[in-house]
Amino acid sequence: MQPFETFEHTADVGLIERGHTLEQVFCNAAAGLVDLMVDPEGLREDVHLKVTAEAADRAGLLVAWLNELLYLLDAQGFVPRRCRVVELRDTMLAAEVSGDTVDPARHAVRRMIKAATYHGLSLTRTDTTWEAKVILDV
Amino acid sequence: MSVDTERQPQGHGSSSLRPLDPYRWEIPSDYKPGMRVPGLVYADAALLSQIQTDQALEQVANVATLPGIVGRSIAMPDIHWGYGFPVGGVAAMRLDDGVVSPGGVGYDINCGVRLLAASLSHEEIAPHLRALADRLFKDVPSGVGTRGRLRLTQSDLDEVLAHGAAWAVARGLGRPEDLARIESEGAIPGAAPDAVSQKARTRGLEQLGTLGSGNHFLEVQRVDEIFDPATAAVFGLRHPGQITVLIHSGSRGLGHQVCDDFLTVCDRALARYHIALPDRQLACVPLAAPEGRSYLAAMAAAANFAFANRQVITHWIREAWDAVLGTRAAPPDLVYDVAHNMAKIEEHTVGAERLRLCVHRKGATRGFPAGHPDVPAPYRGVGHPVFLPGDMGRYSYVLVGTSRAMEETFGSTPHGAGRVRSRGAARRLLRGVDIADALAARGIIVRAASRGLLAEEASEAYKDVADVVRASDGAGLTRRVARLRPVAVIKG
Repeated sequence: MQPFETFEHTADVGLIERGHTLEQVFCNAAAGLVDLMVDPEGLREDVHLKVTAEAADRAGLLVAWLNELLYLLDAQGFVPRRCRVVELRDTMLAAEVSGDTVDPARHAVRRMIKAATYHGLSLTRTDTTWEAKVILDV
Repeated sequence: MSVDTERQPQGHGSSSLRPLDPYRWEIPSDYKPGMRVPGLVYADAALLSQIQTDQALEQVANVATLPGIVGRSIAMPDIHWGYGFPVGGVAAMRLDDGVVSPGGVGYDINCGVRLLAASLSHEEIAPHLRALADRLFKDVPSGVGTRGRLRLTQSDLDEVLAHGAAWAVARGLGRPEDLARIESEGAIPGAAPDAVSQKARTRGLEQLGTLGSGNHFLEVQRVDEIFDPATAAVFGLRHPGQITVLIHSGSRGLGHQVCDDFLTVCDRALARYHIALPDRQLACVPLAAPEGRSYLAAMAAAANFAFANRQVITHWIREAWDAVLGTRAAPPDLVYDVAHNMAKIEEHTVGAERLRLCVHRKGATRGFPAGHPDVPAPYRGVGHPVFLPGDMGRYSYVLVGTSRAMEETFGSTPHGAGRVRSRGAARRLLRGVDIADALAARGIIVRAASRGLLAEEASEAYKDVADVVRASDGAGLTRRVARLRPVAVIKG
């Protein structure tokens, strides 16, 4: 199972994330988002944050979670490298994340993502895995 | 490791499109249940066949279902598949029973383009161009993880959000005469700083005067050809070879957060206002509702941040100019600054009626013609300039709006080339090609924060903007004034 991959969208970037659990889907989505913006290989894990997100439903929660991470990048320069979901309900998520403060002198930066969108958003479950699709505004 | 999968979206068939003339195609209002007005696509046959390869036309039909929409759901020739609204879409709503949609403006509120014109020629600047490109790349922060050079206090930010570009000019970051050459004089009325969330404000504190990344850029150009010398002269474009500078940026993280905040508000309010949508990203609220008024006030504040952002970037450019060229040449003058992601309250004639409407332009430029009272005084005799940035390897255009656009598209015109290849497809096509080297061989200097990803923004990823101009001029929405070619490109 590939934890995340991108798919084609003319102007923007689509991101598919998978996991055996819903918690894994959210953490893999974070990893996919970071991978688009900066090479994760060079990231340390010395900044620790608690992140919460709220939304009207689980799929909306994925959008809210990714947008919260984008907020933290702008507000504190923070990019996550490791993630653990500590609480997950239909409309609320809490996670502990460890990562680095992005520094173009130290990191191979890629492209800025403006936001995660609701367009074409999906969150589905097969027998053994969860899969989510989200389109990111570049 | 991310891998691109090969997936082609389902396109919109030609059977549902009715040609009105070689540049106008109608999507009848019975194409999709719930459409309140027809769709109208401005394109020639060649552009249309590109447009039909993705879901953009389906999105034009979706927008036609929104409450209060007037006239038609309009698609410009540079339309492409967006999220919710298509990029290159225009929709005007009645104020009493219509809606406003944050997705109809986009995450990058008041993303826009500003053109500066210098006094010197390409020949004169050529020996200094490398030094100027290096200096611009250093002085105008861009790319992931960079901070702006200004540190705003919360009260500074209040002033930026309320007064836009005028804040920067009052701080010495611009010339007083710049303000008359910005759409709405660089400040949208009705902006309410307190409608902007604390999170949005935090994102804005260190980002004023930064370019961003993706398709945002700063380009030093030379005038390649002048098609309408009289109008070009009014715009300060005097002869082929003259140097210009084009800036493409928006409201940065502050604007993205305002959009995100209000999409959540709208998403939750849909049921309360009994609005059913074909796509969740079209989330909207009545213009007359408190949420609608609040969004417009926050959007105006974010738009003002964007005007101030392009103003501060202009100041950094002028400083770099002075540092590199010294007394050889005065820093460039502002030609004009136009938004291409905005919702504006404007008066338009619809049928026999004069109506106040909320005009959404997402990836579309306001292009008001000669004589319109909202065209600033210096340009009232000819209409204000419209800029169509092309890709970094080819050219950009300066156009002017027409009275026909005023009658048909609420005074709206295209905004650029529009993508034709996804980022992944462009990277695959250009695997192994060093884009910066390839452009250097053609006399275009490139400085980029992430050089490896330049392929995503290469010429091959975009439509030829000349095709867009041909369709727009052909339909009578615009008139060509000049073409500009890049000589140095700064990318985030």
